[in-house]
Amino acid sequence: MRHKPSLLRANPILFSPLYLNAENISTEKLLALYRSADFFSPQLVSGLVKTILDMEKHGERLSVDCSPEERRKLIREMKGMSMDIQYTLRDKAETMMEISIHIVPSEVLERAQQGKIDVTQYQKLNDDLDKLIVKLIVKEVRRRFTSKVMGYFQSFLRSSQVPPFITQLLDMGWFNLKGQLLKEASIDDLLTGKYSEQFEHLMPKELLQEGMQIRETIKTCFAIGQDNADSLIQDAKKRHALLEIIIRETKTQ
Amino acid sequence: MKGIKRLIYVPILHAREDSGRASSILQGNEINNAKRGEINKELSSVDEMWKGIAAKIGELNLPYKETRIYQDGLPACSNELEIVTRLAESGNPNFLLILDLMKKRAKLEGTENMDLLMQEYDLLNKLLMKNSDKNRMETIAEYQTKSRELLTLRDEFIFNRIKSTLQKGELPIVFMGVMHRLDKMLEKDFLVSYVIYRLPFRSIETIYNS
Repeated sequence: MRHKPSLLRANPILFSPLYLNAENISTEKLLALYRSADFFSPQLVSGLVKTILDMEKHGERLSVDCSPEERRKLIREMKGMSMDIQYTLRDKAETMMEISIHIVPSEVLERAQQGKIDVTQYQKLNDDLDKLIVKLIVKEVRRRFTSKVMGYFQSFLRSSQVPPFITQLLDMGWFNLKGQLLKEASIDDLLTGKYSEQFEHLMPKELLQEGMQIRETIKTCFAIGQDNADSLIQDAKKRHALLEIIIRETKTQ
Repeated sequence: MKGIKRLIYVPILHAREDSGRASSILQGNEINNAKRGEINKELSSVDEMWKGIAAKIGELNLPYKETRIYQDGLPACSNELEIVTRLAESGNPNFLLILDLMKKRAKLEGTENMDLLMQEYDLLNKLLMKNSDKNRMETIAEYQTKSRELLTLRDEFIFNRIKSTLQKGELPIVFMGVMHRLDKMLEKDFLVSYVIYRLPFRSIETIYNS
């Protein structure tokens, strides 16, 4: 059973455990998954954050209207109560993504007494959740591909004639005798880098195609979802060029 | 749903050549052959995205005479039409679409505060000048903090601008960069409908990573 931390016990971004079922994410569904999180449900993350913060806001009002004794009584009475919010994204009957939030109202009320969350914190919480979704997609997708590559490595190791390329990677400490990829292994090196030729020769075409799609997904997720320095500079240049024209046009009138 | 005003929100990606193409034409810059292929690839993705958005807007059967357009980066000044025309002439697909909507009798509204846009321009100038510095990450972090603050101010201005300029019975259509949080502010007063065109995955990658 997955652990569901309470809103109060954990770091704010941890109160929303996200679960991605890698087995049910095929590469052709990756874009759908990312876009649905980002665009199809544009209010999902902020909606969830808002629900939680609204509870605290109401808790605050409740606290202000109560005497300290009544407040303590209310918190005592609420002990043991909890609320679960579940967001599930399915592909037919298979669950692709799940966000579970477990809230303990008495703890929310206690937290509300400590002070109001400001807009900056709200914004940060929102951004953190966005980034968390991107990171989890990347992590799960990478894990899925890695496990497939491992499967092939294992089958090579079991064969009577181990291909020299595999022996070389084994000697370099890229993977162990169980076929498990080690820390030094770089998927990029295998797919597009210095070992791509040998990798392409040994691995089935479908795996390579899947690997490339995954690599592109990861790049895109990072480019869109993360504060990547290069893409930020690219965006800045685009915006700068546009504003330059607008300012020039405004001045010439 | 009686009493709730509808608003069409178009989240836009500022692809490099949205402005770069316009800029290079206006400044007389020439694109070298080595870059041409890469740019053409990106241009076709950008054009495809804007064609998709235009088609989606077309499907909405908007009451154009009662539609008021609000555009990211368009200052509230006396010459909004000239700016849009100039950018459309330079091939910017975003502004070409706006011009097309205006031909169908939609009204254009100056959307942004010029002072805030100037502040943004200054901020970008500093970032791009210091980009090669040793303290690149520090410069970027400082830019991000300041630009986020500025974005909030811009969103507040735009939000008030929409509310104060929208006439009774009019339908607002808002073209805004994906980084803005304006839609969250608008949700309080409007029923926000999103117009999103989903590009094939490879095309998105082209726009972002080329």
